[in-house]
Amino acid sequence: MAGRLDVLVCSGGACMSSHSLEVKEELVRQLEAQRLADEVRIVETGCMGPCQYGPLVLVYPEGVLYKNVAVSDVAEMVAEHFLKGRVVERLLFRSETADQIVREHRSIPFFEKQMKIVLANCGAINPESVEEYIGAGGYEALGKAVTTMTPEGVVAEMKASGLRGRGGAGFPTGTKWDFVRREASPKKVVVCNADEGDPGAFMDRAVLEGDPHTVIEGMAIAAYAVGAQRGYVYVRAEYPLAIKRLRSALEAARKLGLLGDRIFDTAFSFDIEIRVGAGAFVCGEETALLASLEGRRGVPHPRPPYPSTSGMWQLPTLLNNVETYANVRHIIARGSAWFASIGTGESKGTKVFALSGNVRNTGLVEVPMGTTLGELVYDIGGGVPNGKTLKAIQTGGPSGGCIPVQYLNTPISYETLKELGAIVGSGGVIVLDEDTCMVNLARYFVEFTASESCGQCVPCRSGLVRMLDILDRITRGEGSMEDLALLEELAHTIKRSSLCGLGQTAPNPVLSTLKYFRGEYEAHIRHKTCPAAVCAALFVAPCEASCPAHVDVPAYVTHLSNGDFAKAFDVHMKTNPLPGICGRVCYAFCETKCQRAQIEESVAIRDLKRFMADYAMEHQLAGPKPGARNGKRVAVVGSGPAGLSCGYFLAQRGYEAVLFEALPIAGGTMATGIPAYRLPRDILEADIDRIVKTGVRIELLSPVEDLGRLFADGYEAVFVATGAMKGQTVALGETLPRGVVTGVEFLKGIHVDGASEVGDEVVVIGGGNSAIDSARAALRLGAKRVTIAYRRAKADMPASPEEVAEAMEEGVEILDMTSPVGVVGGERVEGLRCASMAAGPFDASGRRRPVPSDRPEIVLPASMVIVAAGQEATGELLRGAGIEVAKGGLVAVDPVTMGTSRPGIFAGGDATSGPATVVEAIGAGRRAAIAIDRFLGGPGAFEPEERAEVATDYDEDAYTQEQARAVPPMAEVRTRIRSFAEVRGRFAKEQAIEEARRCLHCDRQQTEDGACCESSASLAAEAKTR
Amino acid sequence: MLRVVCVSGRGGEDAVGLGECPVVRDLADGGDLVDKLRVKIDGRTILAAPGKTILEVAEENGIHIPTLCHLDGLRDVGACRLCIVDLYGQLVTSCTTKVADGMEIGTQTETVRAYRRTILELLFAEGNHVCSFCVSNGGCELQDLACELGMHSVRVPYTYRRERVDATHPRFLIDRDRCVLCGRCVRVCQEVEGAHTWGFAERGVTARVITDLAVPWGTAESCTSCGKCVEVCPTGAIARKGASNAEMRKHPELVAELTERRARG
Amino acid sequence: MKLEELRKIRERVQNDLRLRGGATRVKIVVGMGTSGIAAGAREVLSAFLDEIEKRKLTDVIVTQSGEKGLASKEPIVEVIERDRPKVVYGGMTAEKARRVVVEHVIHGTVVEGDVLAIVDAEKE
Repeated sequence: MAGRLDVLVCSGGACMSSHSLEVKEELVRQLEAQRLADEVRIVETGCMGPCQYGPLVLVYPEGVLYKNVAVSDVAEMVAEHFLKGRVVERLLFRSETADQIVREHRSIPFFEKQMKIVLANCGAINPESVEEYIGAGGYEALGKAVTTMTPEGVVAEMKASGLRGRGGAGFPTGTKWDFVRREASPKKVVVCNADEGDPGAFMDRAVLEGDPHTVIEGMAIAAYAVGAQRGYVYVRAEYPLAIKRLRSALEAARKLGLLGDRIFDTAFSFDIEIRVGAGAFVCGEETALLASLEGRRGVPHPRPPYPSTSGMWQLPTLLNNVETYANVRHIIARGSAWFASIGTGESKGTKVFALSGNVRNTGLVEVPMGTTLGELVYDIGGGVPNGKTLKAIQTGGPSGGCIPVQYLNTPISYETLKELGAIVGSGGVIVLDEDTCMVNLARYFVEFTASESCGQCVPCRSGLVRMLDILDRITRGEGSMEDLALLEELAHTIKRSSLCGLGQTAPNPVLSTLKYFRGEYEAHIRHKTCPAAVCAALFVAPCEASCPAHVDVPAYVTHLSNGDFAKAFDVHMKTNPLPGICGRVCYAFCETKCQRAQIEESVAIRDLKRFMADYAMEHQLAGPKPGARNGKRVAVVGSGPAGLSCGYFLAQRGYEAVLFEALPIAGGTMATGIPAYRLPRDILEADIDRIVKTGVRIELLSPVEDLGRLFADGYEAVFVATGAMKGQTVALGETLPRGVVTGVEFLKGIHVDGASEVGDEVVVIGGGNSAIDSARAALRLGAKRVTIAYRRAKADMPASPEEVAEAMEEGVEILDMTSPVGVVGGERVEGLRCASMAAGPFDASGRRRPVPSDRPEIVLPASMVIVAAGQEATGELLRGAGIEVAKGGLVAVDPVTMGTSRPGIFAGGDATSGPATVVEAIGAGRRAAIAIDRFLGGPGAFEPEERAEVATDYDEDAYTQEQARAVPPMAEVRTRIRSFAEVRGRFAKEQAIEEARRCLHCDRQQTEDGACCESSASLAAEAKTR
Repeated sequence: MLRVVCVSGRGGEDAVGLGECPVVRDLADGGDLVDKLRVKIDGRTILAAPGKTILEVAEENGIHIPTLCHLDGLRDVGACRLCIVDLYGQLVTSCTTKVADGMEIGTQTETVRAYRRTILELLFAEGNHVCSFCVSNGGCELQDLACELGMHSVRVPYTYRRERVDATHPRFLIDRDRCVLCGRCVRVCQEVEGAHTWGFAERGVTARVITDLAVPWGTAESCTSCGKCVEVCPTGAIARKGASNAEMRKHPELVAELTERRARG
Repeated sequence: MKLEELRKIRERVQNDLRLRGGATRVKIVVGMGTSGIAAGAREVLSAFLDEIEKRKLTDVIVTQSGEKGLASKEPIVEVIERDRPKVVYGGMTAEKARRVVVEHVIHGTVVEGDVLAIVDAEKE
């Protein structure tokens, strides 16, 4: 019966596991209750694609797609939408790009760039109804093939289409069909490989569950073309629903005579049997699959003979996978030319990908070959969630490889991905964010393949476990560089000498991560660190591991939770001597890795630090006593965070450290560039004073022009930390009118020189923190209107999101996708001409490169233009000392020792990294101090003492329940924009203690097998379910 | 004697410029016309009968390729990968790859030798191959291979597998710690004896040979106690009871004799 | 199974699937707010569905909307055709609905007497 509405309820595997069938039952009940049962038809369909949003309900004719539908939502949906026509907005998708609700499912970005051929019927028809399949054009192609085409004609059509095997290897399908067709045997077999085994890939299951007839039809056409009488579908036992639906589809097809004798009244007879595999990954390998089909042990045998000459029961056998067969009917029905017009180069048609990992929209997507990796991840996948950045894309499952972020513009095809060391494979795509350890990832895949090796051939059986053993050792920090060489050699041996595809591809994850992320392997081996803070044996806790200064966060936070504020301060001073400053302006890398975020939000570590630092200042807590003097003198050029940190740690080891500062005030960028409303000057001074009291001398107004002089003056080593103080300019014209300044000059003018001149209408160019600082400072100096022009999208701004939000609260307007091209004005600036930008291809950082759009230029009126588009180092001092200085004034130093090419001269902080963060500079200063100590004959180590876990005196379990993150008081917008008084307030004492108790103590979770993160995460998950 | 006829029509019997002849026939042994293929092994041009494997052709021509799972008289499975050779840059097992006209094969290239050695190291590391305590010391194919391939050390750590010796059979025993999973016992039992006593169980590193449905050998009802598995086992894994250190000598060549005799009837 | 039989099944089912196809010529929107339902919108809707099914119209869909804010003229029905102004009918009954199907939807003649408004699509 045709009704008024067709309500499609997804009953793909993922939606069913999130209770879509219960939603359907409730729908039936509610429709009865509202007397709508005759007007509304409910249809169970196969997978619709965006699996993570299940259960999905799609309502036609409007095409409204509801997500995450709970049983309790159904009554409202029926009463509001089905009865009264009011769409239930809260259950609709939101577009990430436009931040608006999307009603029509085809307009959801997830679907917009997709092209559904294989999945055309999935989620659109009832997979258990052969009639619906026929209504949607099903079995038309089979009819056409057997009644109007010759077998040769079908094969020729397949060849012309350019379809290649979708199971992984990408062998031309038509050619394979031709091989089998040419065999003289009177008996032949077609087999469908539905032993989908790659972790994360489930398109074959989706097709079998959502549109089983499409596979049957494809196989029947193939059988007609090659001259086969029997077909077998080898499907894994883990797919019970697929088996059930396929079984019912086969019965329905037989009943209609679409399988069996004399199909469509021709001489062609064909039938299909299901064979259920016991679930061995190696049975995806065709020869192993055939052995298993025959009832033998599922191990591969060497080819030739190929299945096309001697396959099942030694008969010529055509073997294709589910997705390949699912393409067949479309090619026959619509013609090879149509199919060949889709895709790129040697890769035609579409490919279904299973998108998973660190991406907003996970699920099944079908895109034309040639779609770029970036489009797949960003446009369809919605990008990386939780404010993290994209690191790499893993394609092809355990046989595939990792593609780093700089290749986002690569069009997907068999050739391009192979060139990058990855494969299309069966279509698994795992998006990896910055928190992924590539060594650990490679280890995961090798662990999988080692346990799935059939054990027949030596390289695969024995070699993979050896590789796993080496990877295990590396992730535990016990690997050596010889291990790395052996790992590579084993990888090549296994790849080239194994019997079957499993072994030949199993080393790929290791080889591709070695190719693009070798530095990460070396970090584990040489520096015993895991940069992504995943390999638990290599760090105390994720927060500590991610802190560039390696502050023992769990220890000091736990002291705070006990109310031992002084002890917390002592712990902090061991690795970071600037708690007051970091408690305010730190980027808080620690919070981004905090496991507490698995429950609700990360612990407010920076606010806790600030509380602790203020306590220390008010109680005049002193830093540690300097070490006994050793009589050696070290000069430090620059008194920014790197210089201060280096001087402090040198003093701890007994050196006489002297900091030379060119300006009349100490602190570097912290004093000249960070406005006081973020970092009050008394706090800055208190932190510096404390360092001076631990035995560091600071010589103000003492510029250093010649490093040689310092050595001549008796300094035995020099640390250059001169920062990146030069503001970069933007090409705005030959001669600039007055009123155009750099952000560096502007901010320094305010804080060092006491200047306060600012125009009424200020335009700031840039998207980093100094742009935001300039804008907010201009507002405080009395500017009436402050606009930030940024050439990329707002989400790509490097400034911290918190700063951006506060600036907007204060009335700063941000114009993104706006690129300045010139200034307007005579003697004084009057405006800024800006081009409107559009999102272009991806750049090496994984962000979309802004390209000029066709929208006209705009002129922003401006009485002042502040260019805050970046800073750079000059490198003059080091160049003068004969050290090679690269573009942007940067100097190459050893990341561990901070040593330059000249012995005795060390460098660090922004001067070597370019503009970075305070805490990174502190870490660099500390590493330099350690290296200088070693250089001057000391032990070069600071932390031999055993780390002690801090016990607590309260009931920790009480704090594993959900508890909102504490928020400190903030100054009101009205008052704060009138002065440079601090905006962010401080926790009250009780608040700080409560907040500190939210810490999950990841430092205690470490076990022998290094399962730190897992266990704290599982604790978090457990807390969530309670 | 090999007499060669060129059938390309470009000359008579004396046209032995093999390089120019597309098809060559061998008139030896009564003059049967058998198409011969030309292959190049290690730079030598060799005439080969179609249907033969690279290994067979090499051996007929005195070119030695190391093997372990291969045994004349048994079906080849290509499991040990020691007989790999270079074929146009690809590595293929010579025991399972048939010769084709014009093939250029390298049996001793740098890569091939290095990979063979690595594979052998892996074999040594996965078991307990301590020769001085082995019944087959001095008569062991694995030991011979180590000498032949110049494997003087094993770079990966030994796993020191600890499997229980199955000595439940009245005459034989199996020490799985010395098993290299070549599968010769499984094949001889299946293909020659027809008893199907031996089989494989499990997978990956836990794969092992079993008797019947993984019962103690002595209780395996299908076993005929013929002893063929003992003779074909390349190491000291399957041995006669009572043999002491270095006393076990095996005769795998018996299988080929047996199958030949059977073929003759 | 013969090819003709397949085509017969297809034709029969296609009508069933037309809602999901999106290839519609005419869209009929019945106002189903509270006052619409009170004034008999449900009967109007059923009449539309019945008539369309009876006449095997495959390119017409019937959908519903909420309150239009014109309670005195309920039930209100909009007939939307591609590239033509939208016609709004008021005070519909089951009888009138059937007439709209025959005269307006099939023959393209607007049923003048019941028209509330004719709205240019562009102006919306």
